[in-house]
This record gives sequence, structure tokens and C-alpha cells, in this order.
Amino acid sequence: MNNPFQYWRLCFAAGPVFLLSYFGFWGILGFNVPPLAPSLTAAEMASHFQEHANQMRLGMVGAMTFAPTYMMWGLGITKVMETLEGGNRVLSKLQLWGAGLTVIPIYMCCVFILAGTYRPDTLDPGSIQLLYDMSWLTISICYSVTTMQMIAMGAIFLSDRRKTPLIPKWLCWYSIWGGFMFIAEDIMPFFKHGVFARNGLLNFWVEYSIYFFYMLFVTYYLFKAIARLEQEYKAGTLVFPGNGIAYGLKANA
Amino acid sequence: MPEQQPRGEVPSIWAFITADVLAFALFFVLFMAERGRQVALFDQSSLQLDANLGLLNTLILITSSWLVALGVEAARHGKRLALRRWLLLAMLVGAGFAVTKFIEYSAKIGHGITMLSNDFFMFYFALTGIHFLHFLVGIGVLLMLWMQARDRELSGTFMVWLESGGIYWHMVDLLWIVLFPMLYLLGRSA
Amino acid sequence: MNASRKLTVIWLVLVCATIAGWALAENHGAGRWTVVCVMLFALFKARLVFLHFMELTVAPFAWRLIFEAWIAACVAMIVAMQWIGRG
Repeated sequence: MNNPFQYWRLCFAAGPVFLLSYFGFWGILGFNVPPLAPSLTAAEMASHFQEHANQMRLGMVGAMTFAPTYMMWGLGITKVMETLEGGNRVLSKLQLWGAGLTVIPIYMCCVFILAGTYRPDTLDPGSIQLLYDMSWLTISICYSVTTMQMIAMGAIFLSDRRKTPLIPKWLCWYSIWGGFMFIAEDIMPFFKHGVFARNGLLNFWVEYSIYFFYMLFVTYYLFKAIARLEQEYKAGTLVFPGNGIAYGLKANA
Repeated sequence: MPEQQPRGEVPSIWAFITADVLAFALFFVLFMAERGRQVALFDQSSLQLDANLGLLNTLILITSSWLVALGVEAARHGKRLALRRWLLLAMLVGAGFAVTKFIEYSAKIGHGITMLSNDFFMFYFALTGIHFLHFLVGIGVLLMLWMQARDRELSGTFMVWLESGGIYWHMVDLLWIVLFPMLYLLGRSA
Repeated sequence: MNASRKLTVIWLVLVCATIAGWALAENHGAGRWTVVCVMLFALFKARLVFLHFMELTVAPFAWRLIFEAWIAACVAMIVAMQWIGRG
């Protein structure tokens, strides 16, 4: 076994790559920061698509191209979780699957808007409006797989017995809290105006900001964590729980 | 007595508590801002809430909080049976909150009042709804603590989890202490 | 006073403050000053909960300060906005 930490940093770095690409392509080029107001008429929506078709197409394909980086980042988190979780590693796997499945709404929200930009002049405005609505209903309401990811991560890192935990406890709680708070998105489909609408202060600005900072904080601490893990490994003090055999080390009792 | 001595640090759950109370502070601001734009509507709608049930809700949560605090105190003195008894009572009393919520919500919905009826009721259902979800999680936490209290050592990790669970439960009470007057009482007329 | 008795006294005070606030609003109607009183009761109750039930009296002062500031700001905001709202 050469290096148990091989490719971990690549995975961690995929996080900021994802954020930049999603924010830049989907968000800025795609006119999704903030989302178009639910109050726009179908005619207004269609004319927006017609006017900005090429820019939006670029935004959507760019975001879709980089979508897998989100899952890579999730894998990085799981590798660090596995240094703390032994046995059948359920929470590490739930985190990984949560991150992986989050890629689906990321793809789908882009595809729906992309479809609307493919023939914007001949497609009827009602269909364009529907496609845009579908896009936002997808990305906002599919939060629950990401919530699963955030809570699993927080739970395992809270169990770190180190004097200075790999991931600070406040970030574990922020992760659990943020995951839980996404539930406010469940009432997004009921409102076309106000703070709970898809472009509302709460259901857009606050929720997505919580998530944006979550990714930044976690990425920062992942890089710090691997440096410490490598030191512990070199010093022979790192103990991989339970499934240590996978790392060529003796299984821990 | 152990709890009289100042501590160097607090259980890490305070990070969660802080984030949550700040989020609710934002909800309060948003509610009051909207209310300022539609005072008559908000007051009129608020009058349709049953302040007696709101009062009962508050008393239930305060009492349940007190019972949990007694439980934590009992645990600090190693009294396992007392701990379990207080936790069980706290859950039973706390369950009353779910009953009154159910009565309130079904009464409103029965009269055709939902979160889509107007902006006041949007906030009423959303805020009390999110609070109620916090309450449900809290009942789950108390239940787990009650079950674990049967066998776990009343020290170390379990005590931290017990205190943390207690702190979370008190937060549910704390939030309702602001929600009750803000939603139910601001519109009362003589 | 032992700790449990102290907790029970606090509970009784909380119950009384809750009923007082409710009674005031119901009987006087929520005029400007009634709301000030009701919200001051809420502030008083919230402090009892985070200081004594949540034990911020024995926590590092910074944590206590956060919560004192939080409840003061929430109550001040509610009082101010209902005041303004009356036009």
C-alpha cells in the first residue's frame, strides 16, 4: 500500500471547482442568481429565452460539464470520514451517495433550461415557462439527498475524539443545521411571491448562501485535515478503525 | 455543586443553537416588516388565532423544559431512575404541544384558513411549522436519551449528550417564548 | 437553595410571567404600551431560560453576551416595528 491519501486532495479541490463552475455558468451566464421571478408571464419568459439563448446555452452546458466535480468533492469527504468510521461505514456511504445523487438535480436543472433555449423562437411560451419552472423545482426540492449528505458528515465528524478534531465541532453542527434548514424549500412550490418563493429572501438568498459557505468552510478544513492525517500516518499514530485492512494496516480492535 | 462553577467551554451544540436562533431572528424581522405593510390585515388575522391555546402551548413547553432541567440535575447526582422519570414526564407533557398544535391547525384548515390564505397565515403556518419540526426532532432526542439512560454510564460522553439534548429542548421553548406574543398577542383588542 | 428547588422556582416565575403577559394583552388590548410590557415579559422569560435552564450563567461570557444581545435585539425590533406600524 503506497499512499492511502492518494487523490484525496484532487477530490477536495473539486469542491471549489464545482462552486466556481456552477455559480459562473449556471448562476451568472444562466441568469439564475437570483432566479427569474415566478410572477413573469409566459410571454416575458419566452422573450428572455429568445434574447439570451446563446448565453444561456453556454451557461447550461458549462455547468453540466463540471457537475461530476460535486461528487468528487463528496468522495473526498467520505475518505476523511472513513478514518473515523469503522465497521460497515453506513454514514460514510450515505454521505457519498448523498453527494453523488445531488449530481442528478444539478444535471436536470440545467437540461430543462437548455431544452428551452434549443428552439426558443418556435417553442410556445407556456412550454418555456414550464421548463424554467421545472428547473427550479428540481434544484430546490431535491435538497433532501444533500441534506442526507450534510447530516451524515456532521454526525461522523462529531465523533472525532482528538483534542482538536479534524473538522471543528461548530462546522459539524453548521452542516447538520444547514441540512435541516433546507426543509423550508418544501413550501417553495406553494408561493409565487414573498420570502418563500423560488427567488425569495429565504428560499433563495439565505438557503443558497448557507450552502455556499458550507462548501467553502468544509473544503478549507478538509485540506487542513489531510495534512494532519498524513503526519499521524507517518508518525504511526493514525488508527484506521475497523476496516483498516483496506489500507494495508492491521485492523483495529 | 458542579454546575455552579464557571466552565471553560460550552457543549458544541451551542453552535447549532446560535445558528438557529439567528435564523429565527431573521424570520421575526421578516414577519414584523410584512406586518408593518399590512397592519390591519395582520391584526385581524391574528385575532382569529386562539390565544388560549397559544398560552397553553407556552405553558406546556415551559413545563417540559423544567422537567428536562430537573432530569439533568438528577443525572449529575447519579440518580438514574429520577433522570428517566423526569425525561418521560417531559416527553408526556411535551406531547401535549403536538395535541394542541393539531387542534389549532385542524381548526384553521377546517375553516378554510391555510398558509395560502394571506401573508399573516403564510408566516403563521411557516414559522409555527418550522418550530414544530424542531419540536419533533426534540421529542426524538428526548426519547433516545430516555432509552440510553437505562444502561449508559451517567458520566463522560453520555452526560455531554444529555446536557446538549437538554439545551436543544430549551431552545425549542425559547423560540416559542418569542413566537407566542409576536403571532398571537400583537393584534389583541381590549 | 438546592439546584432543583431553584429550577422549580424559575419554572413558577416563568408560568406567572406567561399568564401575566397573556392576561395583559387580552384585557387591555395590544396598545403600544401593552405591547412593550408583553414583550418585556418575553425578554424576562427568555433570559430565565437561557441563563438558568441553558446555564449560560456558568458559560464563558461571550456566549452569554450573544444571547443577551439576541433577545434584546428581537424584543426591541418587535416593539419598535409595532410602534411604527401604528402610524
